This record gives sequence, C-alpha cells and structure tokens, in this order.
Amino acid sequence: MSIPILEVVDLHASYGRIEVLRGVDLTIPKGAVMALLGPNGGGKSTLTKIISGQKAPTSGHVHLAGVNLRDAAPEDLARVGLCTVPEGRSVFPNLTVEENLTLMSYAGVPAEAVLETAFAYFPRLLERRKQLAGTMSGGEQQMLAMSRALASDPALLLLDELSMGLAPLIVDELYETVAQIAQSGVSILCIEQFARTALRVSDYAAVMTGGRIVATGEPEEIMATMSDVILGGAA
Amino acid sequence: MSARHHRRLTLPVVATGLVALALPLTGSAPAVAAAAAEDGEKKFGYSALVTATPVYVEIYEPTIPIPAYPQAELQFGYTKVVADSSSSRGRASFLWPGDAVGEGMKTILENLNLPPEVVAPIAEQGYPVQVNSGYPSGTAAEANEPIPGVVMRTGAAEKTTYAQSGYSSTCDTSGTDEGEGGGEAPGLPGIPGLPGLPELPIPVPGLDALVSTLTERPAPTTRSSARTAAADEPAAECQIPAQLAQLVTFGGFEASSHTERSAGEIAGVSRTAVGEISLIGGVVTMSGVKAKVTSSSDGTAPKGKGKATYGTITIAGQEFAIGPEGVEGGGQGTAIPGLPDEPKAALAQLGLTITVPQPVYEVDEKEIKSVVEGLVVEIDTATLTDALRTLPLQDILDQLPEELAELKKAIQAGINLSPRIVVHLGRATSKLETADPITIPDYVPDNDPGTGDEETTDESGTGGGGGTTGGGTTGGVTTPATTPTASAPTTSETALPPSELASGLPDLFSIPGLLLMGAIAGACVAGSYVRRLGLAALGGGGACSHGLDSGLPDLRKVNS
Repeated sequence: MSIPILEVVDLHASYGRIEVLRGVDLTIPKGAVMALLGPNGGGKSTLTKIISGQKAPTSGHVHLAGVNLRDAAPEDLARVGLCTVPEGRSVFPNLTVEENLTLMSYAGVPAEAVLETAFAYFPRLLERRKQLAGTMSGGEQQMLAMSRALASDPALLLLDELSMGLAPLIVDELYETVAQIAQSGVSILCIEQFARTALRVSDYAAVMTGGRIVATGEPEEIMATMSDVILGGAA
Repeated sequence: MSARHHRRLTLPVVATGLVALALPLTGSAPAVAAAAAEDGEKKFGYSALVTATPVYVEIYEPTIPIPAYPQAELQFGYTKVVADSSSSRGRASFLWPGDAVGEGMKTILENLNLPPEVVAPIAEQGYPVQVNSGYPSGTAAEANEPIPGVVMRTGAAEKTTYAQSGYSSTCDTSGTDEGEGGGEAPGLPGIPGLPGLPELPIPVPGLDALVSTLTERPAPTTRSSARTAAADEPAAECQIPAQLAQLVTFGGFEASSHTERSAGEIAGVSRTAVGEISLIGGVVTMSGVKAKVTSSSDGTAPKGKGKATYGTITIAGQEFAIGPEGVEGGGQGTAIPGLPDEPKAALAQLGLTITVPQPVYEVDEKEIKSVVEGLVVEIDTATLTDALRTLPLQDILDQLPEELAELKKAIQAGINLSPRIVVHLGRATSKLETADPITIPDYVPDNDPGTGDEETTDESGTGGGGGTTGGGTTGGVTTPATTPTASAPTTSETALPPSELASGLPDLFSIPGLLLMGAIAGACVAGSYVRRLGLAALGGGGACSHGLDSGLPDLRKVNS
C-alpha cells in the first residue's frame, strides 16, 4: 500500500475555550481528489488552516507523505508543494491580473512560466490581463486565485469553498479545471459546503460536522447515505 | 578690434549658455516636487478598523443555540469601516443583530426547517436592515431611509470611507410609564407588519413595587390601562418593541465611522451620541452620552485620542452628574460604588451594575487600539428567571406541527434562560496598524560568473602589465577598470594585491580560522547525534506516536 500524501490523525483544535475539531481522522491517497463536505461551522476551514500551517492544533498529528509535521511554517509548506486557495479568494484588488500573477514569480518560477500556466488553464484571464483584479467578477477572481496557486507547481492543493458566492455555471467551469489539474497528478482536497458539483470530480468524499468526520467513502455512497442528513437541500 | 569684438561675441554666448543650463532646472522643479508628494502619500501600508455603536446590548446565555460569544447581541446605529492600503468597506445598520446573525442570517433561516418557498426569498437577500459600500469593487455609495427618522448611509472611495447611522425617535421617553407596559408593538424597522413580542402574562414578584419605590411613581400600568390611556390620544409610532423598551429606551442616536488617508497620514475616527436614556422602566435615566475616538498614524508613531461626555443621571429620582471619574454629586466626585446605601442595595436587588470605563489606548510599535465608551450597564436577569419558568410555554409548543421540531427545540431552551445582559452606551473603537514599505535595493549584484571572469581577467591583466611599474603607466591602465566597478567601490578597496590574484584561486581563511569553523561544524553534527541518542534513550526517538520521523518532505518528489 502506498503512503498517503496527507494523513490527519485524531486532530483537535480550539478557538479559546471553544473546541472546533474533536478528533478528526482523514486520509488522502496520492493523486486523489477528496471532497470534504459538511454544513457551515463544522470545522472544515479550521482543518484547512491547520494542514497549511496557519493554525496550531491542540493535539493530534498531521503526516505529509509519511513524515510527521511539527511546527511547520506556512511558507515552508508552500515551498515543498502544499498550496492553499483560501476562502474568499484574496487577490490584490488594485493590481492587474498580470501583476497579480507576476507576484508569484517571487516563489522561484519565472514570470513567463507563471503567465503561461495561468492562461493555459484559464484563457479568460488572458483577455483580462490588463484589468484590475478588484473589478472582475467573483468567478474570474477565483480563477485568478487558482492560477496563482498553480504557478507554484503544487503537489497537494487545498481548495477552500471554491464555489462560495458564485453562479452555478461558473462553479461547473471551475470544477472542470479542477478535474484537469487532478489529471496532471496533483492531489486535491476540496472543502465545500455545497456538494453535488464537488462530488462529480472527486475520487473520495468525507462529511464533517460538529468537528468530526462522520462519514467517508466514494462519492456515490456519500450521496446515497448522507444527502438527506448533511447536504440537505443545498446538495 | 579683436578684444572688443571677442567680448561682444563672448558675453551673449555665455549668457545664452547660462540661460540654457538654467531652463531645464527651473522646468523640472515642479515635476520633482510632484514626485515627492506622490512618494509622500505612499510611504507606508496600513489597515484600519473603525466602529461606532451608540447602544450596544449583549446577551450572554449559553443555552441560545448560536455558536457565538455573546450568544445574542443588538447594536442600534451600527457603523463599521474596514480599510487597508488598497481597499475599503463600509457598513451601516440601524439595528444590527451581531455578526453571527447578521452575516449568517441565510444559514440560520435555512436550518429552521421551514418550507423552502417561504425561507428562500428571505434568505437570499440576507439580513435586510443594512447598507454596504466597497472600494474598488462593490457599491461606491448606498443609502437607505426606510422610515422617516431612520438613516443608514455609507460610501467608499480611494481615500475616504464612511458609514453613518442615525435615529430620531418619536416615542415618548419623557419618564411616564404609559406606552412601555406592553400592548401591541409596531413592526420592526424594515420588516413592517411583524407582530411584537407577547407581554409577560405573569408579573415578576416584587418588581413593580420595587420600581414604584425607587422612582417614587405609581407602578407601571397594566396592559388594559395602558391601552385605555393610549386610546385617548393618537398612538405614537415607536420603532422599538415594547419588551425591549422596558429594558432600555432612548430618544435618539447617531453614529459615524470614517477613515481618511491624506498625504503622509491615515486617520480613523468614530463618534457616537445618544439622547435621553431610560433603563429598567425608568429606575435609571440619563440625559445623554457622547463618545468620540480618533486613531491616527504617519507610519512611524501612532496616536490616539478620545473623549466621552455625559449629561446627568437620575437613579431612583436622585440626580447626579457623571464625569470620567464616576458619579459627581454636589460638586464632589464620588465613585459609582459610593452611591447611597438604599438605592445601591435596591439596584443590586434588580441585578443592575453601572460602570464608567476608562478610555483604552494600546500602542504596540506601529499598531494602536483605541476604545472609548460612555457607560456600561450590566443587568443580571436572575430575578426574572422564576417568572419565565412559570410560563405555559410547553402547552403552546405542543400545538406546533412536528415539521417545526428545530424551532420547538429552540423555544424550549428559552424556558431555562437566565441571561446576563450588558448594555454599552456610546461605544467607539478605532484600530490602526501601519507597515513599512518594502525596500527595493537600487543595486542588484550580478552573479553571472561570465562577467566576473572578465573583470578578474581585466584586473589581473592590469596587475600583470603594470604591477611594478611607475605611476604613469598604472594610472593609464586602471582608469577603464575602475569605471565599471563604480557601483561596487568596496571591491576594488578590499581586493588583494594583483600578484595574489594572478593565481585565480578564491580567498581562503587563515588556517586557525579554518580549524575553528571546522570545529564548530563538527560540534554541531556531534551534538545533533548526541541529542537523538538522548531522545532515543528516553523513549522519544520517534517523532510521533506512529513512529514517523519529523520534518518537511518535498511533496513533488514523493513516489506513488
């Protein structure tokens, strides 16, 4: 059996006295797309912050490719290939698309290669290359955020609420790109509140609520068993 | 002829030359000044958060199923501005239910299990009583005045962002108890037609008598008598639900928050003002509270200033003035705990505590947090708990259909409520942080080995050619060599003699220095192994309980 690229074991975390993660166990095989679903407030984004080194857990372990992480800084994790597209996109609103992308060349990738990768995945950004990022639509800003992540040549990509605030057609388009990225061998963890689109491109799925993983399995199983409980009308 | 002729020719030529030299200088002066001004505006980065709330009610009750602390809150006249170097957002709301409910209205409504056709249209638009603005994306300015007297305005631009909210009540808060005893409450602002909360059917034991004693007025009228009195004169259009008015009423308020960036300075200002305030059915009345706080920074030293001003306070019919030191009676400052024994004991029996907070200015290098509050009134409702538990709530809930199970659970939890309520009057906060600009060096070292070889060859050639020759020949050869190294003058100063450079070998440390460095490196390696051996001996050799090493793997090189 191959070593999973990400393994989370009995992870606990809290904000002050409020415990938000209560023993999370999660495994992502290398090259797989895992959808992490669940209602708002379930602890999904907190789990992302801990995996990407932005928050310290109170107990538990995070293993990356069979190596135990301990006090790893976010920039070090990004350098070894773990890249996060955070909730809310976080593009520089008063820089142009091209300037936003060129900033990623500081990570060591030449600016031309960054632009080439971005425009190959998202041709629409090529049309908007001179436009201020803050004036673009939400979907285009999300494309820009994903492009910046792809520019760092990630091996494990964490996508936090990719579909938040976007129209269903745009979400479909973004997830088609996610599927393309997965085909290139990148392991992906998609955190989503709304499930149906994410499950379509996933190899595995897990449902998280109340700070725990309550179900894992293949997408069809999850849809069949959990849709009425967790996904509700939003699925 | 020749001398005079030469002078005639020379003078105009020299004058023309001087003018020609001076023209570019005078022409370029405004351009330089403009550039300096541009630079002056962009000396530092910043982020600012400014809020103002005239009346801020916090309700601490752990049984309320909202994952927030406090569990419920109401902010009358809420204004907030968030700005940084590149963007800004403003929000104003006449009645803001806290971020947990205001931002999460959609989720809360969807989780009530009500029919989707009812919930969906309401949930889609989110919390309705608010206006928002944003720069560079978002609405530049938005205003909403749903009913006369209620104002919500906000606007965002590159340098200035503001949010304003205000309310001028038409309710009678002059001190009479009529109109506050319950009855039909008008709809909430922005949601016309929503019925008011039901009046408590069971009186709180002793509360009416206590209020009557403290205020030296008759006890509050009953529902029927209030209606009778109200029927004699036209009903006032009061926007506050009657039960909330029993807790706190106020004549009017205004709040404003704004940030402004000018050349070399960023400032965040928030201001609140509340008119006549009445607490606990008129036991405590205040004539007005104002608070203002300003935080500013020029990128190096943040500054904060603020002030809270108060009118007079009447507790149980006795009038006091309030200053920053507490209650001032008869020209002498008296701390709040120094109130006369009888009213103090009576207020404690009601669970009422009043404090006058000191302004807070926390400066941490380039960050400043400023908070100025008028008064903080804390109400412990344990007195009311027994009455709430006797309500026939279960009988009412049994009539509800099973589809509303979640709603029933939430209401059932309300039976056990004994919340602690904290009312902040005139709360203004301002937080500001600046950051130095990124310094980009003018000179980037050229690490291209090809260029270095050329220079070395050039210098070595110079050395070889003129190393021991006289000054005349050396000067002639070194002139072109020093020109390209002008940007790194130290290289030529610290360069070894040409005879040593000719070997082409890099610099070496001295033998003792080399031995010292080697010893330090050896000690580090040995220390590392000794540490690992020690950990292994103590049972901590494995990095984690799963026996895996600790470290940071290169994920791109992991084999599947």
